[in-house]
Amino acid sequence: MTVKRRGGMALALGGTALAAALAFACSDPLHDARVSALGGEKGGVPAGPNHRGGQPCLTCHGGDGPSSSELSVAGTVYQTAAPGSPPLAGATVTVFDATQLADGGAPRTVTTNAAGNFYFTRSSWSPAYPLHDISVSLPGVDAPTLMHTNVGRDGSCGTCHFDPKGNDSHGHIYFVLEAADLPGASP
Amino acid sequence: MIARSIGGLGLGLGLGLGLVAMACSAFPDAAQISIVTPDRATFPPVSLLLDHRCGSLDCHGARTRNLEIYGCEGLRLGDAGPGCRNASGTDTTADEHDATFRSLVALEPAIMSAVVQGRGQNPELLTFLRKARGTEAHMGGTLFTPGDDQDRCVTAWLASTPDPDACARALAAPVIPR
Repeated sequence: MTVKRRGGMALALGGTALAAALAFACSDPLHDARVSALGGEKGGVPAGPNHRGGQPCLTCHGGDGPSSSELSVAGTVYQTAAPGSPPLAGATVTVFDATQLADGGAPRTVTTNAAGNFYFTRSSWSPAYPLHDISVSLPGVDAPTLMHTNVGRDGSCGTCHFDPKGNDSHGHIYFVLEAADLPGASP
Repeated sequence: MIARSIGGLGLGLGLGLGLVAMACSAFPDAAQISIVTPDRATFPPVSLLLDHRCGSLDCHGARTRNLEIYGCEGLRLGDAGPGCRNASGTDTTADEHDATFRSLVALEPAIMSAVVQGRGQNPELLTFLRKARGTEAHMGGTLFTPGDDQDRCVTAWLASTPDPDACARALAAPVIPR
């Protein structure tokens, strides 16, 4: 009886050790740290399409979790370049990938939601990098705002576009520099 | 028997420590290696192309890369501030060209020297060019096709026969291999 009990205990201990080893082996501490650094939900907005504006979406939605909904390209557009600008809803974001030429290609488009967020799901589009000639436009406004730089590998716009502006960030994505340039703004 | 083992262990330990000490003292603090580099003065057009094609903040415009590329489209240096002049910023500075130059030529100093001394023969010996051409695994995929303006811009500079026109054409209308 004692022998059996010891055997069971050893089995349980072994199983626990194995589970711990597997958990350790499957964990990516760098990814976990990036997820943790994002903190909790912002501004009382629950998880969903409107949450976490300006954050690098693919940190959680890139296929490594913790979110199960996988995105390929995603970001947030704000009205102006000023820090604290309101988001820009209803804008069209146009993205070309490496399989499409800027002149004559068929780019992908998506519309920003009420939080200024936009995204392509991985199942709807898995682009070939580099992404290029990315622009933001508003219905009825002639000139889109064009990003001149290619995107080489990261579908999270927020990886490069975060506040405050600095040597390693171009600041958040914006449609116009100042509020006076917004369509319908009083001169 | 035990005494003999301890004696052997001590001898081995002593030899090991001696080797470690030698290894650590073999290189003086001021040790330097020489690199035969392409011309720094003709580098800016190449640097601008590298900034545009390779230097976005998610790629080589990150300080975590072995090849760091500085410029107005990506990673800035000093107080240059983000963005190029056409985006209310300032264009790539001489210091940024310098920083990119140093990073590029120091990646593989011996091979860089050999390629430059060979007047640009076999530039594909350089890993950065193989990666740009897609002949070696590259997270950013294939960027250059041998002989296109982008490739010509870089390889002509390596051969000390710079072709700024090719660089300008490549910058104006970069070809994206499919």
